[in-house]
Amino acid sequence: MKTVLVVEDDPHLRRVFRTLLENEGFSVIEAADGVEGLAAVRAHAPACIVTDTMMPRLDGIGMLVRLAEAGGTRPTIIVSAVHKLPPMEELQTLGVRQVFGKPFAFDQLLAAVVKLAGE
Amino acid sequence: MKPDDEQLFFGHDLATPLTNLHGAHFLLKASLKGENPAAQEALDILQGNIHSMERMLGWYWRIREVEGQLQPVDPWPLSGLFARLAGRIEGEELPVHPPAAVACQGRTQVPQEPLEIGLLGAAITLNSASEREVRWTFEAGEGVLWSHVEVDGDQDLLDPGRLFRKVYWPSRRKISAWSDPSFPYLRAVLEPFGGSLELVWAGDLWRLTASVPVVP
Repeated sequence: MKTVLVVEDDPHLRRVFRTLLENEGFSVIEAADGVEGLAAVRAHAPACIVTDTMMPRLDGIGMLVRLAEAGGTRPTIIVSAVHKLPPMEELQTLGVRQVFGKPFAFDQLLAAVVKLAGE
Repeated sequence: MKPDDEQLFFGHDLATPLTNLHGAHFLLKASLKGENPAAQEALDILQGNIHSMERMLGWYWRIREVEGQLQPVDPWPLSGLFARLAGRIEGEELPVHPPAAVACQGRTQVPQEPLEIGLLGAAITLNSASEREVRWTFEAGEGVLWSHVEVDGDQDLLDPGRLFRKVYWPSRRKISAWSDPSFPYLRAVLEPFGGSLELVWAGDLWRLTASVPVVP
């Protein structure tokens, strides 16, 4: 069973992600911010990450930068309401494969996670 | 509300509950697995209204982003505008036919992205409000590029007063969120630069004309 790490500060959205992904057969690890996300990557080595950007303590981009600095980049999907993200070329160096702007279509997000985790 | 607070509110804070509503709807629908038609119908109503609310908020925010905020940019050539509009219509599967290109050597100082969004949004809105196919053409003039969107019909077909309201929901058509921010958005994009947007009834058709100021 492949593991997906969900890094999202909103608890309702984390629950939606968990139910959605578990229904698809994934094991889901939750983190409420980038600090928890870093710890979860080290502990669980997820197949991919789904992360928000604007979060307390350490935001999503900051978390991905730290992972990249430590050589621990993971295939990542960003789900964010922040319109002004770094350019895609820069995000790709951090492992980002796709960006979904909130609100987004969950069927499309699910398809993207399935594809990414299957790589 | 201060501009920064407003940006955070519309650009971030509202997006999360809207996303959660979509997510809860998705999970409920999946759990029904096609059973219980009444519940299915109720979910469809919920989804339609989530979608409407999302778009209304999106429109309002988009208008707020441009109203009194746009500054002139370095003049950019309008010759590439038509191909870009056609590309967006095709790429985003928007419900209007691409306008034909016209010879236009001029440039404009109207910011490119808001202008393109505004022109597309206005054409889609006319299409949605009339529920008829629209004809979209461009015409180059002295110091101006006109966008004409026309639809056949009698005077009762459209209500200009409603169409120029900032947040008006003319259709349940499901297209990419926020891709048709309606007439007030385009007007807010054009007017600071001397352009305009007019909707007139011409006897047997309605014509929406946007004038885009052109610099040499």
